[in-house]
Amino acid sequence: MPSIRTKEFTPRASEAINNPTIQESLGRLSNFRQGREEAIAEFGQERWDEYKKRAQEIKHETMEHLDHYLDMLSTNVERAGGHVFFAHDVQEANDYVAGVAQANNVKTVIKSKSMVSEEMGIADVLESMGIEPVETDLGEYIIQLAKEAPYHIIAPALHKSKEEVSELFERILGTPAQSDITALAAIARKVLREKFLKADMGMTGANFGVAETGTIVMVTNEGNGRMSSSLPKVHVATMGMERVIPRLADLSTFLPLLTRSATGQRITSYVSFATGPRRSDEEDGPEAFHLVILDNGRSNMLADPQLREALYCIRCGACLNACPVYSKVGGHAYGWVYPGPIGAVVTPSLVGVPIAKDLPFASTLCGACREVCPLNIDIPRMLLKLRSDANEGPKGTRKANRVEAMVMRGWRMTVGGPRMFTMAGKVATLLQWPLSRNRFLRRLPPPLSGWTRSRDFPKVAAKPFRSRWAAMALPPSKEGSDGD
Amino acid sequence: MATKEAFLTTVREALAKGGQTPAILVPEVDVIQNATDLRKGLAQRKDALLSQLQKNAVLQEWNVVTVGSEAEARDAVVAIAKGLDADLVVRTSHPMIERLGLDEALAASSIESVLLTSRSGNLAPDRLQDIAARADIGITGVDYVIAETASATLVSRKGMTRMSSLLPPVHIAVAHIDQVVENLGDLLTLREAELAEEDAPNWYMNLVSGPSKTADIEQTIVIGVHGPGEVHLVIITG
Repeated sequence: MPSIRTKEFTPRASEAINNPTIQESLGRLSNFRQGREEAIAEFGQERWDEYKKRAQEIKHETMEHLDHYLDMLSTNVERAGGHVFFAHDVQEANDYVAGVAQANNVKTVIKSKSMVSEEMGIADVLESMGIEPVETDLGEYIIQLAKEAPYHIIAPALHKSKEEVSELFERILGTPAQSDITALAAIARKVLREKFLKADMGMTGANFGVAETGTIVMVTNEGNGRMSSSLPKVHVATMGMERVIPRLADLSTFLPLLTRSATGQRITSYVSFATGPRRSDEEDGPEAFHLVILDNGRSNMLADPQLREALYCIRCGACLNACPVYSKVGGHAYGWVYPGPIGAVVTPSLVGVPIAKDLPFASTLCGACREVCPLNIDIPRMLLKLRSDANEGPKGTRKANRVEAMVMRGWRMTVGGPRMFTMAGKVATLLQWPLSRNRFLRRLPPPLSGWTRSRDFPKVAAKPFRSRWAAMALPPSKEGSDGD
Repeated sequence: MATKEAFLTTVREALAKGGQTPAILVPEVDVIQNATDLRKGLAQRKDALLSQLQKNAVLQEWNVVTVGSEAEARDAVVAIAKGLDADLVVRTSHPMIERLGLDEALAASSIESVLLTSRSGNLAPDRLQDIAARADIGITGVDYVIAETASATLVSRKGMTRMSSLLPPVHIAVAHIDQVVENLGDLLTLREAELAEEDAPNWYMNLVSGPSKTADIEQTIVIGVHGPGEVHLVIITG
């Protein structure tokens, strides 16, 4: 598994906020947002909502019978001549893939973008065996050269400027500096084309695994998914166990939701359906096909009724683009494979709440993520649940922080009746006097000083609302009056 | 090592249900009847589908050529190849492509045309990739075209190599108006009916919906990354 740096949320977020290049890159997220909005407008809002509803129903059915559909998927992959391996965790998945590579005497592996393979950290495993893993999605290739984690689910090198890419190519590939993006892409095409032609194993993810036919569906724009699954003699696909869908026909619901939400495209340039290895009547294609289905903590989410729906996610990335927090702190602050709002739900669930407890708090709970989610996943509610888990342990097994509990008891006493409440207001008015400037408190004393480090606290009004209200002569309410 | 049974048991435990999988009602559909009905409907809307396809294909960055006959299609393909100064093209053996007589027509313009197959011809299987990688253009027929997304659908089988439409920098797809369907659902319905009788149905296929592209550097779109950067769709209406 790649290193988990979820505990470094605050320093890495500050780093991103103070880096003008990264802020400029994050500013470009507006392209994604605009593309999505236009794509939905073209599709028709009413039709879009119908598709969303149907997709939710299909995912609900799938998840409630996940055992059944996984069984069906694996049976049909095997019927088509493929191999299926069920991996409880990353270690088992990596061992299996390493074994396949060894058995086939593999020297070079070409990979198309897959979040699950990032989760596995398979590239490092292969490298340690003396096998060359090559990422072929342009964005993934860039971050592989830079030895970084993906920044965004669908745009892994979102944070890199063309100057940085040029410098990276110059340093590692020895190519001359380039300021033209087309020329940079051409360099990658040339280098990667040679790898494609000589690779003996291809690895891809699976956007969908179709149970009824044993078909793996791959959605790409560059064509690298098609190449990785067609040219080498072995094709290994990895998928999280939640990516299964029951029927091929369900794709007519999911594909438009996925591509329009992700990049605003009607469809991507390539949608590849792979079913087992090359058939006897085919001219080309892999001689062997392996599908690795990964749990790695997903069954914990499945077991938790409050998190189960997070498994409906189709990884479109729309929630990242919509999130005011992700749009400032960027992808690396989240410290693992899955960034943004969905990452703040998935990461603690997969790596453990105690070490990823900052992530659920990295949200304003504004609900923009739920708004844009094509599966209507209620991310804010899940973040609240994870916050509670972080403080009190799952199912309230741990007592809340003692000081916090005391403060909360005091708060309840204060606001529980009018006498204490009025008195507290008076006391606060007195106490704030040395701290106040204009209408705000600029700096609160410890332990509240953290709150005012980056914002002001509104002053307690000298005259409480209750007495102002009482003093107001209320005119009889009338239609259309401005009741301010 | 996780066995399938152990894995599925974990899933069942997470779902809090016993080992018995409840029966799931999958609606029985008559795939053959559905396909027959669909074909009738599509045949009645040919013109509307054609204009929908033409409009979306342009939006998806296909170069669209609409011609009235196979002879015109052949001339159109040759004109594209000549315009690109091609020396070598590879092609598939879709019946449509065979009928065009492209090999002779291209040869007349000193362009070598190779049917990429190891079956009927004299190409060794391991030479297919070398030739495809050297070719200037790949010419294929299609199995269906989806109007809503301008997707050329290619089913891989004998004489129809995957790499013909993948390795060369230019792809020319030749389609007939009768192959146009409205959406992905239509395509799946028709393929399901075709495969209904087969023991091992061929569910390998590719939807090609424009040139290979990326926006991975500064969200600037670059055409032609790994797959063909120039794609032509020749639609025969006659």
